[in-house]
Amino acid sequence: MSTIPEELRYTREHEWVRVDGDVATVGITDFAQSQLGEIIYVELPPVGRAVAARAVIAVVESVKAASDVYAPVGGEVIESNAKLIEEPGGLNRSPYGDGWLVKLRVANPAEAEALLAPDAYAAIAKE
Amino acid sequence: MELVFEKHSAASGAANVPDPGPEAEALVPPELRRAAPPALPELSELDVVRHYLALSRRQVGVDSVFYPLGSCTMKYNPKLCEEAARLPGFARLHPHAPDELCQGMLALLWNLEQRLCEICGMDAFTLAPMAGAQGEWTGLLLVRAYHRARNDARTEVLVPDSAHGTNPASAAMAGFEVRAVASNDDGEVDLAALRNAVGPKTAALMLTNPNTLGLFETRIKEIAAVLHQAGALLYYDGATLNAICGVARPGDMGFDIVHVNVHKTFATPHGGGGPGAGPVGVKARIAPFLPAPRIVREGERFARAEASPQSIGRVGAFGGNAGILIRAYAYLAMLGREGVTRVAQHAVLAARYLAARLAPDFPSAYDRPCMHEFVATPSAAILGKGVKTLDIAKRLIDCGFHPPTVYFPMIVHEALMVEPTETETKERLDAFVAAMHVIAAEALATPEKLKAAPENAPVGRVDEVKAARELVLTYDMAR
Amino acid sequence: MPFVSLTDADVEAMLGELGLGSLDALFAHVPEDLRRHAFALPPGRTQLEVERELEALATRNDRAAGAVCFLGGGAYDHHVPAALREILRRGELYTAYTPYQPEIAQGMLQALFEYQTMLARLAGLDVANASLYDGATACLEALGLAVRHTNRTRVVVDANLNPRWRDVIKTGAAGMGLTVVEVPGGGLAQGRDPAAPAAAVDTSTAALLVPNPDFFGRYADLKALAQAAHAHGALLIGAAAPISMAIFEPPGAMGCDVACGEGQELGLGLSFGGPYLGFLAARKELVRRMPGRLVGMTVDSRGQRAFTLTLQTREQHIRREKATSNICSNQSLCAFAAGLYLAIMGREGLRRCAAACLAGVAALRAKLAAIPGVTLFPGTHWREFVFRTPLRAEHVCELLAAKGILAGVPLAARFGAGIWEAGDVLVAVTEKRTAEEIDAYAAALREAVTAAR
Repeated sequence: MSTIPEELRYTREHEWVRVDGDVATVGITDFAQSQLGEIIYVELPPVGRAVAARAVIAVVESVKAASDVYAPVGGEVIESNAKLIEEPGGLNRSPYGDGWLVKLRVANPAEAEALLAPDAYAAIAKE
Repeated sequence: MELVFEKHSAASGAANVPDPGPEAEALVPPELRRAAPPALPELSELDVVRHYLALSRRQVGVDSVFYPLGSCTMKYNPKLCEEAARLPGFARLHPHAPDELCQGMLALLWNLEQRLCEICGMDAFTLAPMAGAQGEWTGLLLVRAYHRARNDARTEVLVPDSAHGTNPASAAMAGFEVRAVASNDDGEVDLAALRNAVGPKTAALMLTNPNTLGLFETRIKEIAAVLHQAGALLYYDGATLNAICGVARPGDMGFDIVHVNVHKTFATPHGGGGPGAGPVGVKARIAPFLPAPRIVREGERFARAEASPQSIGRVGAFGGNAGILIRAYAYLAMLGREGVTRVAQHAVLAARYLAARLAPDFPSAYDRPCMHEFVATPSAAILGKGVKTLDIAKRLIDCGFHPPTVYFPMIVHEALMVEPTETETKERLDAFVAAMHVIAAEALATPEKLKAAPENAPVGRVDEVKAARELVLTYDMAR
Repeated sequence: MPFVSLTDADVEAMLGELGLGSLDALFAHVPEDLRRHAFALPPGRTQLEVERELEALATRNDRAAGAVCFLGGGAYDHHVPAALREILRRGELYTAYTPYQPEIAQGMLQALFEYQTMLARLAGLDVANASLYDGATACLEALGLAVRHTNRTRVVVDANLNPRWRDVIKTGAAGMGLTVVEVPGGGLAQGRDPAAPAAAVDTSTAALLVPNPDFFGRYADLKALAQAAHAHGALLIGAAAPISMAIFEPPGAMGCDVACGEGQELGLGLSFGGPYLGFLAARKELVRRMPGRLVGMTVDSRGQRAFTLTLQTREQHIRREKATSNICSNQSLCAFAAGLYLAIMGREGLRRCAAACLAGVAALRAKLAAIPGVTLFPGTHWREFVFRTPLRAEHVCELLAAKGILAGVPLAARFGAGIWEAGDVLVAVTEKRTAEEIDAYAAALREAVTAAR
């Protein structure tokens, strides 16, 4: 069973987001990393890039799959998790912790409220 | 085993090349001279031969084992075809030789075009594309040129979700946007979804028939009508032509453009990944756009002609992989009319038989008669043990078989795609069934045995994650 | 029936097991009207009959295939070692497909890894891929690589690149969204001027593609071009000839980011234009944007060294329309052969081969220079050069062909208009051409030109 922390919001494409003030931290869920298998490469956006909600912000690759990561909310990239470039396996070990992908300064923090609650996401990630 | 760079002998192959002396190299101006010679191997010819022979023992091909690799048509490669391509009159023929002096070659290629036209139901063929994917790209450039000539700038190519990855990749390279079309529960193109997707922006639909699930698209004429009524073209990916050649023709189904993979249907060897050839056939209204060179016949004389002004241009430096096309010609000459049909019949029979025999342990993904290949999945009981299709594939290696294609098409979970071809004996097919049955039993009783497979291969299971994380692409990157 | 392995009894038994009455019943779900075509193909023939037909067809090419070959223009008559031909007949190798199951494909994988290493070393770059179709498509793919790397779409191409390769770039450009700017890097009489195309590079340029040697066999120093390209953020791509790299400064050492070109000369023979070998080498920073297969070194479950295809997420079977190229089947066996050729020749053998071409060109040029009416052009020529006579070039070639010499490529007749004139012949001299053949060539040309005066 994959874990789905209560305090986060989710998307149908298996991203999670945590909003602190005007900063949104984005990653992929435990379910997503387990489906992909061992992560070998992460492509991250440069700091300063403006992204619209639902635009591709990162690519996560395993040996046999490449998965686009979409921005759950719009904003400006303020940090990318450079540690994952060195050691992409961190994403497998700690998808909600050290394995975060991108931090965004969000224009409208309320956008995250419209995303999936944990129980709604759990229904999607069941199969 | 050692790399060629880890071996050294004082004697080297250079002994066979006369030394033109230092005055030759002195002709290179100092600023253009290479500072240090490239670090190439220094080995005696015998040591080189031993190295490569040792490599060949760590490799299997169709000549070694049953190789039911779905979607790749790994049939026997007749040895006469190999001999033919090596005849000095072909092998030593320079592509810039004047047409008058290579009439035998041009006659062969012209005749091959005619036979491909007849088999596919097309009006003209080009032999220039050097592989299936290059054929697709060529075909899509033809689609683009055809619409442009009618002042109709169409931007989208439709591709079924079950399609080969080359289809969307070729469409993108030809400048089209790619739209996926869903399959229905029968594994065929969903006609309602297709009708919704087709519009004034649609340039073409790319389709294999039978499709990548090994199923014949029974409503192919309706599909063609939907496309044609919307002013779009229908493109045939010839990857599965082995199922229908000599039985039914893409041209009669309504396809406007086809490519054939001669390394699949026409028994030319796969070469460890290539070279193949991907001739492209078209209906007459698309022929003016074909790439150069065109092979033309003027009475008893053959010539290479530049293409028409409407042509898409050239797709390769010369006229295609002639050495491969010679093999295909020789194969077709031996088969003849009855032989071509027999190939499709026996290929389908072998697949249908295997699908039925394997079904108890590996049920087909779709409960419908397959053509020359089928997609199966491990039974629920096997998957329940945590055994993956990959584990089954690796265990098959221990049993002396090349595994089927795995994890394709992507729309089938844990897919095993099996294509036996017409060139295997019934005994071999039965032995494969027996091995799969043993593996299914092992999966239930000792799943760890499958996880540890292969045991009897030159190397154990290869760590692909390490390969990708710690990229070592040359010997120098390893040090 | 040839090449089907089920007996009549097998067929009957298998149909019985499936509950079918005939082979036709296998196709019952294919609409009946689609199965009515009577195929107009010749009847099947025995192996012996087909062997005789193929031998007869091949013999009809003997006047060309058996002639003394001074043809170049993208394919060259180099010696193919017997040991290479012998190894290539190993069925384990040539009847395999793409090594998707690495445990039983270590032979091909290791050989391709060795090829990648040898090509990278030759080119003076970090990495090489496991093959593309030919020199022309390798150039197109190299430009695509530069476009992905720079996010720019304008490319500058030295118009003295092989005209066939330029055609292929033009064919592909529209679909790939490329704007191709062609600038000739020096006329025949003027000599090479690679600075001319370099001057067209601007900050919207993805790459500068320069041949070395160029189509007329001339070598140039590209180091200043590398600076010009890099100053604008563009890549420098060198389209190069592998054998020449044994003695000439290779693309990487001249500052090229990418080297690409035709590997036919590495033991592949002529075979009427294919199968040949597109090679592509690059700096390692570009590897994730590279097209085509890559073999990597890793370990197996027991910790032994092993090889596998890697970075497959760049490729079409995973990334589909976002792949770095659509290439699937490539020219693996040709790359295998090229690696084998380099291993047989070795460092010294390749040096001798490259030097012999240089010496052969110098010898033939010296002979032709002595013929009144023949014009030569300046430059550092390695394996090829252009000469001009007052006669039409194709007529010169016909006269020499009658003496069993394929004199070269008549440029205007073969390629239409260009920087050449009607009397220009492109001639290649490989290590196979003997002093006697060079003498015979010069004598025949002298006779042809003198007779016309």
